[in-house]
Amino acid sequence: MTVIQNYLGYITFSTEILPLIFCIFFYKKLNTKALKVFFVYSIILALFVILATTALYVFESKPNYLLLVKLYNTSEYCLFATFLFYLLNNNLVKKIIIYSTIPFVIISLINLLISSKSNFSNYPSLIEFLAFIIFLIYFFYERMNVIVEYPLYQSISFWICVGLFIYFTGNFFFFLFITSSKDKHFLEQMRLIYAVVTICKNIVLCIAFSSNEKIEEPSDKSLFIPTDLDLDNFPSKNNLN
Amino acid sequence: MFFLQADTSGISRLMFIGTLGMLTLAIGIIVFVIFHQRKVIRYQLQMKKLEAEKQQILLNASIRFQEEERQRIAADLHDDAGPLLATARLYLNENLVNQEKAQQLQSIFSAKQIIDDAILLIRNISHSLMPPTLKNFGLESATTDLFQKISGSGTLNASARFHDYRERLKVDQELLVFRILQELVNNIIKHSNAGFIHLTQNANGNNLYLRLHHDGKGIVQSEFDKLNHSATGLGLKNIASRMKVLNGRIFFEIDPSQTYYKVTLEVPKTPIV
Repeated sequence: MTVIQNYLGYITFSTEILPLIFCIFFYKKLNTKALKVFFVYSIILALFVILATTALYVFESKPNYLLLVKLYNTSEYCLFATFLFYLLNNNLVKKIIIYSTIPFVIISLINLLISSKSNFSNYPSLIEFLAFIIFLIYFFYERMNVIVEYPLYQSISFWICVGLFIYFTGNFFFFLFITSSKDKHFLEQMRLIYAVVTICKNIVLCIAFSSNEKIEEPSDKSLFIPTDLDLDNFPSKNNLN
Repeated sequence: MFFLQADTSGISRLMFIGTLGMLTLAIGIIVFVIFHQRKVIRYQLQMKKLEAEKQQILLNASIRFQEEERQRIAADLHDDAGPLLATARLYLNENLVNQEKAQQLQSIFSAKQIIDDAILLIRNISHSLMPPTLKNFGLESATTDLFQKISGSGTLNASARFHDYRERLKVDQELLVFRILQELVNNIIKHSNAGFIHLTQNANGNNLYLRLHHDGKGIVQSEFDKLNHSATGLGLKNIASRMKVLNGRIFFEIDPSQTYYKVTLEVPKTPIV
């Protein structure tokens, strides 16, 4: 079982680099701000994986690995928030998402300072996962209400959101129970679930690049007349009011 | 089964069921969104088909309007100009030379009067086809002239004010805009029972804006769209087809004060393609 677990761990780590490879390979398709943010995320993810693997397997330093995880979590939240900020249309929700990074960063910093260096604290991760499950549900709801001329599944951003949604929902219980038991068998099961969900996420993120992102133009029947344009000033108006 | 055999079976089971439930929920939401969107797209395609049908109706209306206009001109020529010229011909028949001088002069005078009437009639027909003021002095003069004539009739107060018409439209565009304004004004006079009609014009960027205000019974955009899709309302269909040629937009609304209606035309200054 341990051998399988190890192989699964290597495969999981390897697949984390795939989004960056696909981003570089399909760089021309990254034609929106949201996708450029995703490109930055894929770079950070690949860097984290390389550094984490080095810390865990080469230097065998668990505190350094956990420090990297904590730093990565914070940057992941900020990048996903920016990614959704560029994707969503509702200004209020956009503001909520972007300003939510401030309390999250504060919570992460407090957690970094007060939590044990050799133990993983799941609170920031749980907050992140719960927040993004809600944000992504809103994203899907908004996409349902926006009238577009092409299918949603032809959009890279949509598939990226699908990948992230699978990742956040699938790993939510993993982060919820990660600190609940030290049982080896239990931890193996958790790692298995995490590995399967993460591999699925990375596959979906790679599949996303087979689609073509189309920039949507607003279409409205009403006229957009500048407010300062004098069109309503006529002789009888004074008599009317 | 592997998960259920764990020591911490309670948490393990909960985690397994929870993860499975969350994933099912996630996949369910994604599938629902995709299918819902497909349904919306199908509906949109249907709407596009209806729009194409509407365009066909507009085209037919435009052709019918042209035919009616031709018939009117033909009727004017046949019923008015024809008999007038025939009467003039009667006065100037072969027997004229055999008549007395006084009678000859009387016949020539009558024929001259009839020919003058015929000239006036033909001029009116010609002016109705292409207003000379529009051709010679442009949209601003033609519109002001039209509104002055309406105001001069004394039935309702009418005025036109052009704020920024330094950059004129092309002649073809001006004629189309003038025809739209004529049709709108005719509709207001005929159907709205208005006390005033005022036109204001302004420009912004590449767009020219014309707004008609009237205090009669008007229509709002939804009613205009409804009438445009119905079999009736030939004049409105004509307006819509002319706006399409101009690549412009028309918007019917009631003022927030609820005291008067507004019809706004947005016409791009770029030439007609």
